[in-house]
Amino acid sequence: MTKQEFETCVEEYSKDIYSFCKHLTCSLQEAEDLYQNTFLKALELNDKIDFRHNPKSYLLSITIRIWKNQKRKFAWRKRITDMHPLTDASLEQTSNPKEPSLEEIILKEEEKSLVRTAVSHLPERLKLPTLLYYMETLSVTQISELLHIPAGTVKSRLYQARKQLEKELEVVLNEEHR
Amino acid sequence: MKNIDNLLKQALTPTDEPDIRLKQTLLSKAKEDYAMKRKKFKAAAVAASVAVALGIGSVSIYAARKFLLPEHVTQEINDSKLTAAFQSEDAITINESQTYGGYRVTLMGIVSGKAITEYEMTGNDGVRDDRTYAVVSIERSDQTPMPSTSDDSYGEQSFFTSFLIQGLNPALYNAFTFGGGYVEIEENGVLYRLTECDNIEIFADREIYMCVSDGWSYNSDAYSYDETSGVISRNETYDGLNALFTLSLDASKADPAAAEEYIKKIDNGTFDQTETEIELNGEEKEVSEFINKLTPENLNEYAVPIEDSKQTLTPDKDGVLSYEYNLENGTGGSGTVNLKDLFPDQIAGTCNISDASSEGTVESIVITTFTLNEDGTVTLLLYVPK
Repeated sequence: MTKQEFETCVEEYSKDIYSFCKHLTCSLQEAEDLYQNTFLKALELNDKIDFRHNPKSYLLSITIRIWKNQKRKFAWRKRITDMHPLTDASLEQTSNPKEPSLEEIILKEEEKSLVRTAVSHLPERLKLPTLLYYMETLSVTQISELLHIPAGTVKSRLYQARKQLEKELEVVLNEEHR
Repeated sequence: MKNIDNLLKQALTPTDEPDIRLKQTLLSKAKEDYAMKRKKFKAAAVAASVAVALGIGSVSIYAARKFLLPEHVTQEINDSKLTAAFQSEDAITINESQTYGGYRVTLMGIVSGKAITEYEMTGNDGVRDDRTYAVVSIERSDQTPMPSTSDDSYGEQSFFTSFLIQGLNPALYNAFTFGGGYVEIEENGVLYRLTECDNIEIFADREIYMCVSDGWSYNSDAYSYDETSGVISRNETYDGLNALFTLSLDASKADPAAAEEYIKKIDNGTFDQTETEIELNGEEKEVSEFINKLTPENLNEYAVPIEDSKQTLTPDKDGVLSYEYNLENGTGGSGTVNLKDLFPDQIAGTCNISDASSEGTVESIVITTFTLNEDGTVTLLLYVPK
């Protein structure tokens, strides 16, 4: 990979990797470190890089391994906080042609926040496939390869995660469409 | 009632961007790494920098003609052995052009052989000296010149060139897995790329392709792969560069046994090496080692069944098994699994270890097994380590 290609790679996958790091660590500081270390590790492994999988999937596999290692080394601090505080910028981003009211926007953001918090409460074995499937839009096969577990297990874990989340988000799910 | 899938998709769509400061720090660290790496460049890459140096302000002896020949390209990069190879009878002249996505690409010629370069490529398993080389030229279809390799804009548009083989999924088997590399030079507004990889003649009894696309890795949007016939084709609807040349090689040079061995090597090779780069620690390693050694045959040696967990499952009309269990220690689980995935051969009595999950310690491992019964039902039985 040339320097130019590496920069393109950072540009193209930053949002995916950074969002994944943030939800995985539940900590801004740790997410920033993990994001940086992921790309630097990819650079270090450049000669041995396995491009049989797509680059995003490869980067995510690095993220997961670094995170698992660090979690053990430094007794990862779990801070379950609202990771998406409402800001003017985020309000602007949610605008759509129907121009929902400010109240609707705030309620929608609250709903998303509740879902994210519920996901952060999932045990790791369920959280990882959930983030990879819904956030990173990887296929069951790709997740299976990335986590080194059978595809059937991925499906089973996604099913368990959905069941657990349905229970935790019962109120949100039963609300009328806003 | 709202749908959990939609809620999750909406809430988890990546929206967080690292701030500019963080990106800049990352890129400057990467720059330092690159500066250090350049000293360790492999031979093929050294050739690239030589080519760049020669390109600056030089008036080429080939300036009078618009197109270089493959042997001229190799001369420019000071590879006399490869120049001789391209001038030999073993070289295949192709000179076929395709125009897509604003670029006109010409596959000029290829040559294969052992030790035919001054710059041997080294891999994890030593020197890779039995290689195939191809020269392609890339020019803009609107005739505006391609940037010189010394221009700042050089590399802004990246290209991916790779041999592809019929019957091998190109997303998995391409230049990256074939030990590929390339060197580029620019002359008279035309970019010439010398692409190399392990000798593909062993696959000569199949269709062999050369793909040239935009991007820096294989792009599955640009090409289609028919899993039944193994045929690779251009995606006609792709809005970009996706040239694909079909080569005619001497089928007598095919070596199916060597080809099979080579594919095995790829399948077992690089990923395992990458895996070991970031080592698992302590208990995680123990868990991984324990799970990896489990087979249906040795399961009773390492684990004991939880008899209470035994259930007989009947697949639904689509062949899907649904199950749920709750253990005395509070561990519970449920899932659905496809019968075909579990038992592709449909042989009664077959046991399948479907899942060995853990919360991070060997003690917390729960192993899920399914056994296919004569009557088509399936027995679920959980195990825990002894």
